Amino acid sequence: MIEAVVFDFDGLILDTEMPSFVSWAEVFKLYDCELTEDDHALTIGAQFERIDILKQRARRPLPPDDELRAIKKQRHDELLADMEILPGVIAWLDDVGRRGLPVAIASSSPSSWVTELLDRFELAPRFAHVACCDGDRPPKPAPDCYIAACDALAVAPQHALAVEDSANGVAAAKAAGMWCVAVPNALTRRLDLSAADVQLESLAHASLDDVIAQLPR
Amino acid sequence: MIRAVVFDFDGLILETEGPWMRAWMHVFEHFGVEVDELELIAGVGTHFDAYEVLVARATTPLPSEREVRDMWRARGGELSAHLPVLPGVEQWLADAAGAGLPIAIASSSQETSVAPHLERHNLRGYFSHLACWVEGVAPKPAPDLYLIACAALGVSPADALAIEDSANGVAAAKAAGMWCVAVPNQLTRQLDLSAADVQLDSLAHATLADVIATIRERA
Repeated sequence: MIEAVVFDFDGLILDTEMPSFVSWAEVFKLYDCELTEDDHALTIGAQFERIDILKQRARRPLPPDDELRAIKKQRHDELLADMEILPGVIAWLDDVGRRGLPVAIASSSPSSWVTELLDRFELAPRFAHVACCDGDRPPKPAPDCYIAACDALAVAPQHALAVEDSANGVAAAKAAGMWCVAVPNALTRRLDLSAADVQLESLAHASLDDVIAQLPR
Repeated sequence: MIRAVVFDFDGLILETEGPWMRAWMHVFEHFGVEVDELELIAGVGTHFDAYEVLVARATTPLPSEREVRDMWRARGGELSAHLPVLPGVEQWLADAAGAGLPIAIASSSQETSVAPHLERHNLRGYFSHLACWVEGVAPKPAPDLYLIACAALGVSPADALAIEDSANGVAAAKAAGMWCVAVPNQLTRQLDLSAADVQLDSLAHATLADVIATIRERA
């Protein structure tokens, strides 16, 4: 019996990972090297320093970190401004409400990042709790943020469904003991998400009811 | 002419019925008693008592009624504490307020299980009155709660629109002499709500103005 739903954030609700990839890839190009989608995909859902990869690969002298981050940030901000909520997300949130299920977010990102974007897209009232990896909480694939989200909703992980787009996220949800549906995006499509209980092409391709019906009772 | 709007609460503003039903499923499971979801759904919107079903079917001794109900109440409270508002509700409230129509709640639940949810979602300010169940008032399908709500808003039931999700609720509103729009949810979709004047799939699928226009044509 599913009693709560916990959504990942980056790459699932908003495609924040593509602006992140594109802006870093452009910085790599400035220094005559390349960040591939594969490199990037491996870092998704975990906290990982792209700048360290850049330092290994750059074929031209690099300016100080601050300057590199500023170049990346400017482009990143432009790309973020053009983001849209991913297809199917609103319908899923509506369905969750219709079933009377509480909803939270579990994310490896800092809570300031998640709450600012939720506010900007007027999604904040939809979520009863946002469990991020601030402070000492380890990022996914550690299960901690999922366990914190389930605790906040007063639901045992075995009765909760995680919605994820990345391998690290699926691993975190399964390690927490939750059910998990994997919905890869353009960047995570090449990852192995088979540890999830259900895999969907897009949230727009199946409803919450369809997914719950596929889980063992 | 519609001069006021009265909302049901459970299953219409928040889908609380699912969590309270799932809380009974928990209790039944805890005592190893089988129950079908549909049996519990049939009681939605009234004072149906799953406890009696549990007692009738239990094959092992149960603790006291009080203990069983406390277990159910505790679990239901936890499962309903973090629910989102149903799609379209906030827009309907804003539209009613914008049109200058007073708004009330008519609910077979006690005020203590209605008001905190409204406050948590910053919706309490929309409502001039909460007509909630108290000892001595007949719950829906009796019209009493709707009549109390209309009286509190100072409108005749014939000039008020009830918004309901359950068959018992629609029956209460119609018995009070109100207009009624039925908006079934996941649980009540299987019930016959045809006694309502208008049926909607979701409050997000039509505006209050649309529904009032439909009613005006019929009046």
